[in-house]
Amino acid sequence: MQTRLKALCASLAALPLLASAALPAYSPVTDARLTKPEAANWLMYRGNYEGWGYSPLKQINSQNVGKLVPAWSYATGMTEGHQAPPMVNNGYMYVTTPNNQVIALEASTGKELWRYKKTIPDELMQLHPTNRGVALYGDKLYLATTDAFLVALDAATGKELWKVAVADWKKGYYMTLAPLAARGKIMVGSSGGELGIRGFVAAFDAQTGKEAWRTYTIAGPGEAGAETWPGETYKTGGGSVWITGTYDSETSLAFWGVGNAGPWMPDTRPGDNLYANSTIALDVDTGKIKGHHQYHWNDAWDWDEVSAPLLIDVEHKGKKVKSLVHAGRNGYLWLLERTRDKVNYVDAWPYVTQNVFTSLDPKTGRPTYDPKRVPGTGKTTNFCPSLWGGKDWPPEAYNPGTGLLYIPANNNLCSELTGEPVKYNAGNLFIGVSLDNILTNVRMTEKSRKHIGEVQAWDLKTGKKVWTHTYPEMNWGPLMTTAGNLVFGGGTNDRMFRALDAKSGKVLWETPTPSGVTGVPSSFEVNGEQYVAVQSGWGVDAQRMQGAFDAVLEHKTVVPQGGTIHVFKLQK
Amino acid sequence: MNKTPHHPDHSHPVESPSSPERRDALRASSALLLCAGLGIGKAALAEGPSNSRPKAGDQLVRSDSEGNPVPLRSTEILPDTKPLPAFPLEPASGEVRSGSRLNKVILIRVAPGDLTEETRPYAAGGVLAYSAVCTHQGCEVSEWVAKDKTLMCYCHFSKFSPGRAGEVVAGPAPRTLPLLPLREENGVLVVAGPFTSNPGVAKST
Ligand code: FES
Repeated sequence: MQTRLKALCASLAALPLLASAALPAYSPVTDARLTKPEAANWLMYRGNYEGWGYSPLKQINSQNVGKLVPAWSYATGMTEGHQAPPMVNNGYMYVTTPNNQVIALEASTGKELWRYKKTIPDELMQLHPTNRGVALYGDKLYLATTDAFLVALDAATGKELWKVAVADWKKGYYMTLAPLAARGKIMVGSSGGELGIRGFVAAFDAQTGKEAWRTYTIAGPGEAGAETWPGETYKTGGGSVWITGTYDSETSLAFWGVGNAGPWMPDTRPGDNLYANSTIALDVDTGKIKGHHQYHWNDAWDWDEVSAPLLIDVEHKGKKVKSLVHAGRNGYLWLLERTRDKVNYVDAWPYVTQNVFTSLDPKTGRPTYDPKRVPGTGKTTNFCPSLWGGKDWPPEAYNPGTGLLYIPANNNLCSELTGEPVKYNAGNLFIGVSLDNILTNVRMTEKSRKHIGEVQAWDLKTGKKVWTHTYPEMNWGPLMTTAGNLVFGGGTNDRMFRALDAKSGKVLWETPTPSGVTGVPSSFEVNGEQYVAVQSGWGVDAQRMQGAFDAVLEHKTVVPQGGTIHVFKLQK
Repeated sequence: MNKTPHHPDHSHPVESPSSPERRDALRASSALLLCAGLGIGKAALAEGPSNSRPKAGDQLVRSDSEGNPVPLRSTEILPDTKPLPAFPLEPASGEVRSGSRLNKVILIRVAPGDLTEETRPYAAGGVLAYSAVCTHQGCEVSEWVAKDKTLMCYCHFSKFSPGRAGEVVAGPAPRTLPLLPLREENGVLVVAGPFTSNPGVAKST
């Protein structure tokens, strides 16, 4: 027994060595690599700094995608929302799961190299038990956690190198985003808009973890925009940041999306409430706000504009524009211009049913509201799109080959909210709408009973929609597009993961996964073979919307929980 | 437009796991492992009345009470309404055990006819005390759903039946909501013993 045990221990100790023997030494991730990522790798949240969700690989394409078969899969052992993309650096894959865990695998075989589990405090409440991935930088990787820590790990061994408390989880701060790495800094933002936080983006030295700067997304005394918050309301003004920013390496500006103002009812904080519901351009070296655009002022609909705008150079009305493109939760598709020191409005139009905006200022894009559609304390209001918006966090994708922007949308859906007074109590929900109301907020229309979820393809040059693929119920599927004329995504409650023809929207391939797919897909190549990877694992907001549907629909839908990593390749 | 056909789902809801004891045992052993790994002994964990778990003889006070806390009486807990959040109070020291949110309970009045045999001994004056911390991901169980007489957690909509010993009747919560046994002294609610199981999340590891 003794010897057998010893032998077992010895073999266990040798395991990591054996596993990595097949892999080359870990290749450090530099600014140069992140600026021009190799086609074979998926080095960050959206594959490139511009936020495209695009892979230049085309071995798998619209001709042969029907022959896609599983290469390997891996059970994470976790439940809840598995949203992170499998990130790949020369054969090493990194996947994060709910409960702040990182799994490192050999990308081509699925062999586990190591697994990191951040211990979470017993008392932590996880409103959004999920994680959207790591940042790879140098020979380290970085994880932002739901107890608001930033953790640095050795990418080759998984050894914890340092961790810093970014904010106080007891006051409702938590993090779920993949950090952004650039110019020696690791940048993160905090969630907690429903718990009365004051949002921020903060940068830390990639080597030491020392805080370099912190910029509040909610303007306070002495800051530009402070006048848009009455009294002390800025202290609990929300403005969460829970999606990775995009980055322009030419200007060193990072573009972040900012969540809604809190609490929800606009009359509790009369004013524009900068920079809630905006995109802000931050100088990566100093954290200074170099420009912003507020998509809508004095939010009343829980329309976080938290996904970062995509950086796309488009031709608009005959003029070349270095643009920012954002499919807003408010139901408008925004086209902005980015310069060194400003963000300018260019154009915007609704991409789903929207009955709140009556017009947009042609110069500034500032919307005018239909007063009947603005919720308030002591008032019941119906509005479209629903509080989850035309598109929630699941990212759009842009394909430079087709020139099309792909949006995972929820159309035809409306909400009804009744505002009620609310008192701030640190660490507790601070919303101003009863929880029962939120649970039953959904209002189905004739149209939404026919279909809700959509994948839309837009030609940015003409501003025209080229095709729409529809689903009977919700779409919570992040999209990826490839040079193989494909768009990949899941997001539906039938557990499917699909490939669509990027030019026509036709479904070319689909496969049911163990749970529902709300993970960000990625693609990579090892030894000349292309793979497509995604996590299956329904939970968090998709599950919450399902609950709201179940509350108003005649039928109930069960989507089983439990995470798996799936990697596909072409059948030989 | 391309359409994906609607697949109605006929599968059954997930059953709740049967053995909370086993989970607790697992949890305890993994905690031990962690402690060993991190070199944290019991002594390093916070002690003192405000952090330590409720004990027999404690009274209960409203969680939002300010100034001198007044022990709650069973008649203050009304039927068919949101549960009342409360913290235990150590009468000797006058200390409210609000140092840990795992000590928070919710008080709910359940009609005698809705109480199972198993649940009845834990009630006093028709009132039951449950852990306020959802066993799923630790949010607060704060809502009363009159329609099906359940306690609901907002975060991911787990529902617990107060009349059936905190049984999970819907949602992702993996185990029952722990009960804090009560008795009554001259109408004042008094804790009769420790939680029936550890409050909080049984973490998957
Ligand atoms: S924390 Fe209560 S249902 Fe998830």
